[in-house]
Amino acid sequence: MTEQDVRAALCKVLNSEKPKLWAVDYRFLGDAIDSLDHAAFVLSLQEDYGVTVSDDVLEELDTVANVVAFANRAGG
Amino acid sequence: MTATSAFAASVTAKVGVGRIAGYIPPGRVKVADIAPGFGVGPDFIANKTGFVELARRAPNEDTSQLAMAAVRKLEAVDPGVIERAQLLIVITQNPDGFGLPQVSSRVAAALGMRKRLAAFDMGLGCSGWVYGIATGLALMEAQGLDDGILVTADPYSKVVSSDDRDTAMLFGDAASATALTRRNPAWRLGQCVFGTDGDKAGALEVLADRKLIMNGRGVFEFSATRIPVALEETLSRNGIAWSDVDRVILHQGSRYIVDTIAKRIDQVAKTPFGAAAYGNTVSSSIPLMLESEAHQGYRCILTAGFGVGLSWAAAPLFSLGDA
Repeated sequence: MTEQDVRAALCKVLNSEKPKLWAVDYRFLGDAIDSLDHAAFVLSLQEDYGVTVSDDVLEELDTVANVVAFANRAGG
Repeated sequence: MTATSAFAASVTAKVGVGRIAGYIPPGRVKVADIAPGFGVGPDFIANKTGFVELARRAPNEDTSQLAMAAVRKLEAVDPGVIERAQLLIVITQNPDGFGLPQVSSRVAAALGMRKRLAAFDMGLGCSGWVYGIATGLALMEAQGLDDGILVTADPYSKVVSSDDRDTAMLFGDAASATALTRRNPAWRLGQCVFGTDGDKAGALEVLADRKLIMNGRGVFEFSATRIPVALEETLSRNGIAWSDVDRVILHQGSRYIVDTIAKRIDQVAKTPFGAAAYGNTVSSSIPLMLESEAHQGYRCILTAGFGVGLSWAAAPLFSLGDA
């Protein structure tokens, strides 16, 4: 999974182009993304990229860079 | 079966769904008053949970009183239904006291219903209304009963902690009563789709302290993935297409989940959210919506309930014309 993939997923969930402008280390969780949109974002990662996200790593998925790193570890 | 034959099959003397009445107690919690304590703003209330106010029962108003109020409202629009009823089903997981005796027995006695009454409770949450009509109509058909009443009454204020961010801004108290009848029913129940994923039941659970816990992400993923599939299966089982469906009435879990499912089935315009004024009323959410939606001239309404269990049920209602 690439940064572009993550940004595309975020844009789709938020119905906005703003995630394309976010720095890779911008903490969007709790700032630009609430818990419901984050749940939808995580679901899209699972459905579109085949990664499995357990509840205990959920809060790690808070920046573009961290999502890419997680997906690479998880094999997505 | 083609769409045409699905509708044609409805002109039979079988039992079906009659009038529906809801009871929403007048008490209210204004979500804007409690939201700041959870760090939640007006945008989240309006566009995410969707619940502006949560209905609350009075302190002396127990589950059976909510149920009776709904049945009395049904009696007002369907006079004689209490006297005629041979069957009474109450859907609840929050009964009076400790659940013994069953709520249906309390309601039957208080309303002076006949002693030759089949009365029982069913322990289901948000899928309960669909399970209830399917169970009630099948039992009536098999046993030759002509009239029944399905009640939903599940006041979650009994189990919601006011300091729990995951649940305190969601649930409202209410009840409904649905007439099941052989005499001039308004709706024929089509083929249903049922499901249960007990492996994920921990996502909605009342613990030993009698407090509800909810894994919001778990419930969201379950709803967003299971229900679109169940709705498509329901269309297939009934030989109909989305173009045959006039309205999709989903369990009103939140605006976000209703909108998410609506987008996934590509039926946004047909899938309303209508619970802003009273909250997620669990098994009462579908009948509360149908109380008004059922009188709009629709020929087919597709319903789906989903939640506690994790359980789901989807069912089409086909209009039988003016009842």
